[in-house]
Amino acid sequence: MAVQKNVTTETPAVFVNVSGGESLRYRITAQGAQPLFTLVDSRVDSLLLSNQSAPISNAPLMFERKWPLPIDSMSTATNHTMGLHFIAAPQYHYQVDLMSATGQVKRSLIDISYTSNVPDDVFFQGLSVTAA
Amino acid sequence: MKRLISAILIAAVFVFTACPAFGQEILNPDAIRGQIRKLEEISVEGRSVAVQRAHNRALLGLYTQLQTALQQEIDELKKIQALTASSDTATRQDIANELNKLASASTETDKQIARLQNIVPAQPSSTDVNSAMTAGTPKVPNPAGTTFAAPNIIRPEPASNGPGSASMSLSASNLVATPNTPQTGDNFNDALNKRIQEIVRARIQQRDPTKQTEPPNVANSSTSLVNMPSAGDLVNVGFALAGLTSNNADANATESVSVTASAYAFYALAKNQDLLNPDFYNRHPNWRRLSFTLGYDNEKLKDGTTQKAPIFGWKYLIVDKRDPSRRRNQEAFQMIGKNLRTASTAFGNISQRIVYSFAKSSAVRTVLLPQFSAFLSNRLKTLDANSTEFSRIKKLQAKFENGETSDLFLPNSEGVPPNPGEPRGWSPEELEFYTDNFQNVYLGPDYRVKLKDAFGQKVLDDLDAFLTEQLADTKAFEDLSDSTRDALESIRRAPQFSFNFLTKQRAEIADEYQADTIFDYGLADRINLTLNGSFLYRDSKLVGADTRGGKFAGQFRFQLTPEKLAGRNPLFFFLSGNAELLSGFKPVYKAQAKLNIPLFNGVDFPFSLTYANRNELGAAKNKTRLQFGFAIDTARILQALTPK
Repeated sequence: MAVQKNVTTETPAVFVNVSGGESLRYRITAQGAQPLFTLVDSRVDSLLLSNQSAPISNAPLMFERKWPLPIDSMSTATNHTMGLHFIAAPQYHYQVDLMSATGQVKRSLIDISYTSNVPDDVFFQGLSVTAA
Repeated sequence: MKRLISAILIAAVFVFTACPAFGQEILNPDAIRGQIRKLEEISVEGRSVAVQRAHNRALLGLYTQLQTALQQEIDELKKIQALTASSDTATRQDIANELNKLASASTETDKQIARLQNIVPAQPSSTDVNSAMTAGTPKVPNPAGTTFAAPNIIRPEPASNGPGSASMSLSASNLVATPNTPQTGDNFNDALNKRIQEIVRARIQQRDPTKQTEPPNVANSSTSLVNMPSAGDLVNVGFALAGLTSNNADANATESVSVTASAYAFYALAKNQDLLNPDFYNRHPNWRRLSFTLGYDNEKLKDGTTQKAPIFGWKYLIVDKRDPSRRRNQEAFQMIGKNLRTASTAFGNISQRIVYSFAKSSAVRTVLLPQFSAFLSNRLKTLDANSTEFSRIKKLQAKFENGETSDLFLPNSEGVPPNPGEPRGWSPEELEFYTDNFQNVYLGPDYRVKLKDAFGQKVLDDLDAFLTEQLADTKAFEDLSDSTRDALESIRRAPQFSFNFLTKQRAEIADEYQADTIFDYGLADRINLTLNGSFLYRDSKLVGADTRGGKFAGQFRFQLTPEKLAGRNPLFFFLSGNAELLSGFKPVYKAQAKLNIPLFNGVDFPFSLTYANRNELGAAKNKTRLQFGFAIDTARILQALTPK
């Protein structure tokens, strides 16, 4: 593994007071010819976001996802794992924010840039999520 | 002067720290906040370590006092709340609101205390931390080894500012616009992003190691028996510097040089474009299909003299299935995406099982349960006695009182907290406490040190054993690795087919013309096969002495070291052979072993050992030749020299 991490903020876990209106906002910026990433809810085995999703911006290429959405299955404790593949994209910038009920950023949980020139490099960034 | 400033700062810190100590009986949160504000206005940035430490310690003392003052106010309000239980709704609501505000302020103060505790070095004399803690609360070790009261770890600061933060400005990724950074550079960022995209796509093609950089095989002294289907992107220079034969008299007898330039290089120059401008490069792939070769071959004649025979030629790449944007390669990317999703899920599930395995450890529970009890007590103080949360916490506290804590923090059969509807589900308080006070405290940076310090070596040993058990099944990751390798191989092994024409002009003997069809295909991982089928024509200066024939050549290329997107070429080993049949001549058969050693990015050192049943002059002697030279790929050199 030759993935270089440039960490601004990294938090292993977050408690989300969903009943109080809190939510998570996932945002990833990819740089490269063919970004390849998947954000999954591992407990319910659902895909939250991937490079196949509609980007919110094309330049820079940026994807965003709020959690939970009405369609999301909820579990008390899960892991939201971001898998990054560097086969044709050498850089990713991944951010996760805890949002308040009013939609304001309450806390930055993850703010990391990843770089690799090795095409078969893969990196998984997990976030343990508990919710009530 | 510096000493004077330091002395004044220390004195000011002392005054702000000492003054409240004389009047601790009057703990007015507003007054303490004012003192904190004044102290925070004093900038100690760039001051000595001693001044900064004193400043932080003073702040820590004030925040600790503020916490005590807030707790006193909460206690007072709780008393008032109890006495006014029967009063009107508005009064009760006001009290509840005020309690919420105080609880929020208390939480924020806890954060500041935790932050300052991390900054102020652990010292036995740090009594200003512990002495002001709420009396009666259990003191537990924190990951740094100091001690503090349990309620103060209720909301620890998340791990942040890792080692990479210091070098942020060096990383291109930090130039990406983020929601919290000024958007003034949007255009620049957009352009930068697009540029990087193009560069990467271009590099995949630019780094194709099958592109020919050596002199063509029409040169007698070429280090290669086989021509490759594609040429370099810009200009390649090949030198066959010397030839050592089995006859010492022929040593260093011949040499050849060739320069091959792509039509793309001429086109870019004509358009006054940067040759490696990714946008231009990606928009004009077809211009790189055509290349021209110019060179010469020093040949030894029968009379012992040498003649310089010029070489001219061109090559056109007819089929190129190694373009990453082709549909067949997109399908490979989709397969990687599917496996990446599966592997991500597997990673998350393994991670969760490990995270919650600690909840079953007696060593961990011994430490966490008292903390949880303190957490509940602290939380209870902030709640309305009529709320559901209040009664829920009371029930949790009853478990402590009755010694029934064994079902707290109990994972289900899958090793994670039960979902709603499952038996023995975790309360919101258990979830929140375990998240903020275990995972975020002990599983961040230096987690092994923190776990060992807090819970002992056995917890680490158990962790390692559990991890080994969990990683027994790694199929998801293997599948991902396989699909990645397949995709890379698919690109590398995709077929290429080209047509090549070469001529060697001689002042004496015969001019030589050669038309090749060249096919290259990947047989297996890191093994490629190249085949040449050639028509040969020798136009003799003598009337009626023209000859015609054919040549068939084949080569296996073995990649000995892995390929990377940046840096030198891999190390290659080649095995090749050819058969040449010309009218009026006896057949010539050759076999060759060659090693291509990458010296730098764009500069290779090929050397070969060739055996022939007869030499170029038709004599059955000098059958073995050691040939070496240099192969220069200017596209890769420029790529390496161009600032990223």
